[in-house]
Amino acid sequence: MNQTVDNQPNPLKRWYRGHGRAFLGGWRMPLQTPYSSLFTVITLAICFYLPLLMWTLWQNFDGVQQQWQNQGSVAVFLKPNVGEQQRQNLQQELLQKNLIAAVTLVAKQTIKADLSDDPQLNQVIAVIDDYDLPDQLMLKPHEAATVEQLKTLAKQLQLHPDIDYVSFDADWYRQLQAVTQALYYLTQGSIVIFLTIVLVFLSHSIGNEIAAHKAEIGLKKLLGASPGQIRRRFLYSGFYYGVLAGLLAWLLLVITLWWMKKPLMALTESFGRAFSIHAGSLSQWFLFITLCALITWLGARISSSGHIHKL
Amino acid sequence: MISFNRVSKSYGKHNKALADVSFDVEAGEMLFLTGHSGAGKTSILKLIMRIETISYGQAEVNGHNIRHLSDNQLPQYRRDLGMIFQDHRLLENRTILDNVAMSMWLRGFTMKESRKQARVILGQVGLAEKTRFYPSQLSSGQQQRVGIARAIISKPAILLADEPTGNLDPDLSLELMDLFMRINKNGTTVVIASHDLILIKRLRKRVLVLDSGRLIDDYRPS
Repeated sequence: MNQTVDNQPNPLKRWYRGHGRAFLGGWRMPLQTPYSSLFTVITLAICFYLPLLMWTLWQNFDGVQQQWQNQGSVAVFLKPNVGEQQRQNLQQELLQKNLIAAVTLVAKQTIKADLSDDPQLNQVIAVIDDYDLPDQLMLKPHEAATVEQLKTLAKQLQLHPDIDYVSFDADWYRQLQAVTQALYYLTQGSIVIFLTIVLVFLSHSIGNEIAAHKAEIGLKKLLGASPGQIRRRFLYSGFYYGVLAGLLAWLLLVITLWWMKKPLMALTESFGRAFSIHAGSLSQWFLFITLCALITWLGARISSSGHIHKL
Repeated sequence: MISFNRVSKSYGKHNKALADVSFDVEAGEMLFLTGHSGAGKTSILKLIMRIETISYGQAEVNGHNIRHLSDNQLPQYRRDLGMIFQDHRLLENRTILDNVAMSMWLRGFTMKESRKQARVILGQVGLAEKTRFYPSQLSSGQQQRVGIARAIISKPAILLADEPTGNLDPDLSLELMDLFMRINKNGTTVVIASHDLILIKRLRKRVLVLDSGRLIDDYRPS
């Protein structure tokens, strides 16, 4: 009887060979039960998709908010008796202010023409045709100007003797800001809820897989396998579930954004802005899928440690 | 190699599987544990394998105090032991080659090295032609030999066998015992739990006799 098992591999070799086998074994295990694995991937994908959708909407709204903040303008209506020279002096005076990048004159004829073109307001204009509209100066704020600074400026200008009325409508901006903020909190809340669902669901799925391999795990333990060796294959399975679920969630998001494109365009155009929603950059996608894989790996780690210890 | 000092094992308050059992086994020795069903033979093997834990007393196996063995030390400890089970415990979805090779690749050998060594060992237990078979395609005796091959492939210091001839006819039992003798001659300590007294008498090896969890005789042939 020749027993010739000498020269045991060193720990490093044992480690990477073990990972190599688990890397393949982790693929094989979900493939052994394709329908249940598909169900797991779809459920996980939905759990990743919903917070991802909210996060994407929040990112886009935030971007729009920034854009609209920078593109906002202040309308200054002059008193009817302000002459040409006074108006030019006022324009120069306004251009001296740090917060203002440009001052444009909108003549009363232009305002009337614009209002006449508006299908909802043209009838009103017909009635008040004889009303003498004031000239208007449109102030384009500097890019760095904040809403608060512009509001203060509007209050200061209101006191100017040549100015009749200053319009800086910040309400819509505040409403947008509130919606964005609500979306942000909703995203945070949904991330917590759906992550909990991911962990619970994965714990159940991995628990089932461990139960299905109970005899094999018990035997491996008796043959001297460490808990880490036994766990490894389940961790790779968790990792693969995360990658597949992340990719599916991404696909669902792309389909949703494509589906929402038309109504969103119509909505933003009604505000007079052209806006298209973006699904994130390539690096953001890579980060998202890495995060999905890490979350499911962590779920598999927690679940498998508990279940294997019990066997 | 194995030293039991007043070892007891209880399951609950009133179910005592072992009571005050003491014995020593030298390295390279071969011995039998015998007794009726429920005498405590399997309990001793389970304690040595650390499938169960000792309730009272001390036991040292291969230099390890098995009562105080931590979970982290357990895998390394078990790698020096080989266990043959009465129910074989073969994985039905793997070929017998992979059933045997598993013991090697768990120790970090490549699949190629493990399978190569498994072929050598399966040849030594007379199953060279059956490497691609699945356990269900083998007879009970052949399955038992696969279990032996799996236990000895990693050259353990101690080989434990729980009723290895339980389901075999007398000729096959003798053949199997011959295999254990050859393994023992290579320096492996062999402990066999068996109630087959005829077989035990024929082999003329040391016998520990158990009854209701107590060691009642330690027979050493002259």
